[in-house]
Amino acid sequence: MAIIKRELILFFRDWGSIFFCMIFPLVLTGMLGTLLESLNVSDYAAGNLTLQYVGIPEEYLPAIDGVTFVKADNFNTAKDAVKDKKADAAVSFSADGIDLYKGGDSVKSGVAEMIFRSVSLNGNSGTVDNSTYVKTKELGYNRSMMDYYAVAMIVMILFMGGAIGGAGAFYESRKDGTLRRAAISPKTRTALYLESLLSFLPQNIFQIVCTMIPAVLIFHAHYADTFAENLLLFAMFFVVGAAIMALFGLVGLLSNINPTLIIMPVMWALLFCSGTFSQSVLVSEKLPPALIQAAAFDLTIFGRYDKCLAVMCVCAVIIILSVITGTLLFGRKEVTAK
Amino acid sequence: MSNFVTVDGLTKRYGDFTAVDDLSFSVEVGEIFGFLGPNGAGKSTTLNVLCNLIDYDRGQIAVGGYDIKRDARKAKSLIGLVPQEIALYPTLTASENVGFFASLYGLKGAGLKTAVETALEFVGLSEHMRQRAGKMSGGMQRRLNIACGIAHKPKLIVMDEPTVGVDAQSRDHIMNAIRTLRKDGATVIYTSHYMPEVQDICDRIAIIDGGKLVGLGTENELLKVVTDVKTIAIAARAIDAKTSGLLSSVPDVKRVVYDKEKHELRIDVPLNFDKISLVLQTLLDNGTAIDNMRTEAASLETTFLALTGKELH
Repeated sequence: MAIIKRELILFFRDWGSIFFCMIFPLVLTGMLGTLLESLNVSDYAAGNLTLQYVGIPEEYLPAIDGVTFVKADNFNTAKDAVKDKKADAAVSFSADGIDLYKGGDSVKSGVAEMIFRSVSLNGNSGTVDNSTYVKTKELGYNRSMMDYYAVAMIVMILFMGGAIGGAGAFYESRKDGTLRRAAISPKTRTALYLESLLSFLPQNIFQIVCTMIPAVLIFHAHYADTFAENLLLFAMFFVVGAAIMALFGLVGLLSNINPTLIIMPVMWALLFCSGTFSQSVLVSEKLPPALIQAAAFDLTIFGRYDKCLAVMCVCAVIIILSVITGTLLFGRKEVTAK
Repeated sequence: MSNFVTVDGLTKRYGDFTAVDDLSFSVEVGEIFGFLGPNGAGKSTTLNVLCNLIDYDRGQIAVGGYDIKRDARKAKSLIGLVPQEIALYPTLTASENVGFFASLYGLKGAGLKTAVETALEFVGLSEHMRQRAGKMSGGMQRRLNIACGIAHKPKLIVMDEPTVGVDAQSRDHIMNAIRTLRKDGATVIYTSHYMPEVQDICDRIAIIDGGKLVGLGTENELLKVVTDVKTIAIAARAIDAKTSGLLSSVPDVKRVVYDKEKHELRIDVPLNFDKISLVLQTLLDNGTAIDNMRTEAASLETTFLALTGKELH
């Protein structure tokens, strides 16, 4: 308990830790989520569309609820009507194909484009297969970029905070001699090592909770639908964080140079390549942050928890192997000697 | 008196390098035992082995009657380490630091609180118990470093250069604290690069070099080791490096040291030295005013130099 208490005090008295593990991800979630929300919302209310058209008889037009077709004298007058905001788009049917002139409302223009792409795909049959452009909605409620970043930021904290925290704690304790001082106490080395690892777990919980709760309350992010699913999501994040801390604790035990200097750029690169801050690249889907994010989205969006459980199992194996290796390494007395 | 620490035939190797070679000594109950050696002599390795921080290849070590390998937990519970480095958590307060390290020895509740208060009072930091270690002066951090090593009331206190970088006031405080610890029944193993400290507080002194014990005894016993050297002490002001160099080149002069604080020049020479006029002439030629001059038996520093071939600093 003394070690856990000490670690918590150290964590909460270090403004760097507080900022990096709690404030920074929250601010980033809010900034990115708010900025990008208007660009990438999955559900829009497009309203009724008025389309001016030329080139085909009325009976060949697709019949779609909410879409009113108005015949124009020619394509230019139809375009003028769009410019004057009397129509949302203008369309010309001819032997060369369909010309679409879109108006200023990007949502309505997007819907118009989808309709005529579908018409084109269906060989101007005059009927529209709704399934080709209307996705069946599985979500239950609106999803936004905020929801993506709410998950992505937690993954980021787990990787950055866990790796730097786990490695840094053992490295710093070795460097400043406090680990050596603790090692001469009658406590066994196994107990010391395990208690040190356990002492990171409350931080892990704080990091997740302090991101999840304000993200929901302040930025209105959505995680999973039900309490049970959210609990499972939290459990997955917790196990992932514990695995990262256990794994990088080993680095801190062995490293003779400040591990942050190596871990920081490697982690940023890993997160970047995993699509956390970027578009996916070639290997993205195979990288751990991407796999964890995919498992989280599978749970939060679709309520599927197979990937989530798989991630937890892999992390449990990593934790067990890391603890065994760490205990053996820590038992080697030279690790704590000056 | 019975022995509290027994080191018998200790050998520690790092690959082909033998850091400690068949080292044997014992420390009596209630003794302040000086442990000296030049850099790389095997001092730190011996202390690390004694504190069960590293393994050793051969030999036997007992602390308070407990074998350091077989009864490690019992032996370790008797030891308190005051390391050379400031091994503290800078963002914890003085009382939190002491409390944390004391709790590793099983202290808790009211017992822990009392131990923390007693230790901080002992090193004169009671008024600073809520101050963070990182905000303390170097001298206060040194004292806190000691408090962390003694709060659990160890029977054996290993002090590895506890006065490095402290001001005179803190040094005096630390020296008095060590005497009090001994008075309270603790056994102290003390290392330092500052010879006057060792002479001042240590009952016996061990000198090691190349991992071997080269001298062991009281100050007087060690001084007798070197019988063919005497020291000429000259009270003189402003001796520069050039003058020191010229004096060192006088035939038969073994060592020249100038103490800037005391304005005293100490020259080690053979007992039958007959070139004192040459020494004086060198000083006068360089414009040095001589206030006083006397001859002394060899110092502990001379003994150390004679035994190890190196200066302690």
